[in-house]
Amino acid sequence: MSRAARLALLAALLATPLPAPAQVVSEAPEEARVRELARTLRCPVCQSESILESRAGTAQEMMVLLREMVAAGQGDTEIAEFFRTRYGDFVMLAPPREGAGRIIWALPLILVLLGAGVFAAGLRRRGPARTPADTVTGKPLDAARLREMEP
Amino acid sequence: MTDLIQSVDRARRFWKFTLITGIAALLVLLGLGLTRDPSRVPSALVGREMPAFDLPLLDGEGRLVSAEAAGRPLVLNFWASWCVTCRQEHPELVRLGLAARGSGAFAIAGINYRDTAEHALRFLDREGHFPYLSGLDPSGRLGIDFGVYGMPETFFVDASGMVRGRHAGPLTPEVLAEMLPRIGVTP
Repeated sequence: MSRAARLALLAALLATPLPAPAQVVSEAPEEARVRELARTLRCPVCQSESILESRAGTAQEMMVLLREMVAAGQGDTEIAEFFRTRYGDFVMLAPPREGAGRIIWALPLILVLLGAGVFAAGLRRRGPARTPADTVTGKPLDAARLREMEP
Repeated sequence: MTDLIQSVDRARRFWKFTLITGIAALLVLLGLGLTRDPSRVPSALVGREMPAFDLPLLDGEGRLVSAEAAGRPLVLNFWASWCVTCRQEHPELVRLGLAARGSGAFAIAGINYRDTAEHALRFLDREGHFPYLSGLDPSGRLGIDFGVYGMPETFFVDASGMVRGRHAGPLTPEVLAEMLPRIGVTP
């Protein structure tokens, strides 16, 4: 490639308009709320995905329904209730904080408290009992035995 | 001294007991959880009133209206031409439809779910036409009202309009023998 050709190529490259850094997409103001709600609803077909992520037809129809309900100004609990009466608690990705669902939510806390209790009990038992024990019988040594063992 | 030994013994027994109970509880929970089929979704509709519908017919003029079934038990089958297991239950549905027509003891209807009329009719031309009407639910909106998640699904509604049973998957004589008595129909 001659020098002139190289220069021409460089000039051509520099003259090429750069693409815009990011596309600006305007969306309906309710769309953020729709997404937030959609993330909490389980797709009944694919089961481990929310209806926001799912490409299943049923999930997409649920998204359409959700958009209509949000546009109609329905409240979060009203919308959740709509899907729960149709698909049961199953449709909520997070278990409900009532009935048997309460146990699930409380379980981690119960386990942590139980663990802390066990740990504290262990510390207390081990703490002051530091008298040397007989290696054979496991009994703590009394003063007389200790004196006997002195060299 | 013996007090201390006794308390150590007691603590040891306590731990052994706790550990064994814990492991046993975990095993029971795992056993319950792992033997269940996660794709079996419980129906929220059983024990409740059937959602109302008013759909265009698949074949011919007119509409499929839920109110027309009032006062009689109803078997409602969701089906689609793209559903493979629907082909499996097809002869059973045709048989059931003929029985319904013969005895008049109960009504039966189909809901063509997320499908096109063209594909649905081609499916019926190949598999045999139902001896009863089907309504069109191309968007699957009515399916959502019924809490449908897969095809095929069949709902059993009693004469008072209460949903008494839901079966997901192909219908078999065994399923019908279990479900039909729930809506007061002898299989």
